[in-house]
Amino acid sequence: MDALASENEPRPGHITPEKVERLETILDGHVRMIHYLQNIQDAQFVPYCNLFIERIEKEILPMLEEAIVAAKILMAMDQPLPQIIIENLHKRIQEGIDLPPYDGGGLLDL
Amino acid sequence: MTSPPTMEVACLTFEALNEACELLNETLGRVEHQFIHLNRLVERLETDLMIVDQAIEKHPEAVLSPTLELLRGVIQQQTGVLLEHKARLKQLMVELKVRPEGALVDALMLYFSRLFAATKDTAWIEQQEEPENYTERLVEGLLPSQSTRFLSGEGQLMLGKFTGYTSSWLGMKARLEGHQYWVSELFSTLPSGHALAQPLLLMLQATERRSRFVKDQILYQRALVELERIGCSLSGIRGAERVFSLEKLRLEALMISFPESIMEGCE
Repeated sequence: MDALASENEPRPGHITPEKVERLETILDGHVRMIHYLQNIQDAQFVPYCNLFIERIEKEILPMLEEAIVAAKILMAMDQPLPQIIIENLHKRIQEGIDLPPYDGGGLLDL
Repeated sequence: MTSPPTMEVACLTFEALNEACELLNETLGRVEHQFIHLNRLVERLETDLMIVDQAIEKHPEAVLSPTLELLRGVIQQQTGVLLEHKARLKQLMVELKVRPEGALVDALMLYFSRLFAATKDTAWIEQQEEPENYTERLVEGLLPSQSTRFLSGEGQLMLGKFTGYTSSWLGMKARLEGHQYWVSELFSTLPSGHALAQPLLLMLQATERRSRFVKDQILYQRALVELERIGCSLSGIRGAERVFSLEKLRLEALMISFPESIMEGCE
């Protein structure tokens, strides 16, 4: 049976605004990376840039957007949520935080 | 020459014996009545626990029926002994009228010696200022006076609360809390060696497990409402739809609807 946090205890899933800001900064870094890549005019690099852009848009940005939403849910909750939901939201946040903040190029080398 | 003092003694003994029989008869009648109340409380508890069990049958929960059977068995066994006491007491009272000097009276007196002493002790304890400080004798087929008092007072009131049925987890939570209350209160009136003590304790644990499940269901319902509230406030944010739909699905998978089929059967 799933355990739930008591209403009287401090919320185990508490998230600080700084964490959300950190995630937004990482997201912003990747968006800027996309703009940077879009502005590369050299024809020999364009196919690679498009590939990188596609990977950022499809794989990195959704993870960060979901991490931000997860953090905002935990910040906004007034009622205790089931432990399993809290754990899932934290997992999403951690996945977002674990992404390199402004190193889109390095990540795209994978 | 007759011996008046011996006659007097015999007369007094006979009177005291009749008094003791009356007191015991009254006590047995009262206890029998309370066993009927206890049986009704157990029936209500069983109905409610069965409803919860129908919902959680997918989960590996401890099996209810052995616990319930044990409690029922002990009540039945104690009631059986009580009825035996009643039948023999009736026999003794008749013999005392018909053949007070007969051998059967002696044999029955021997049988009742402990019961007479127990009822006399209890009557004395009840007259004391703090009767809870005294320990009553443990006698098969009898209930301690505090248990009898609880069942005839609060126990009956509780029984009234369990009439009718509920169709929601919230209602079931209140009912299970009521059951937990009467089981634990009745348990607290019993000395640890009483035959009913252990089955009641097991029943309390079984009720607590189911109560936890019901409370979880209520909290899942509240959590869903909470998720929907937060979802509305975050609508329009990129990724919100994906996160909310998945978490709601997860939550809905944990939620179990109140078993309606049993309710229909009960009504």
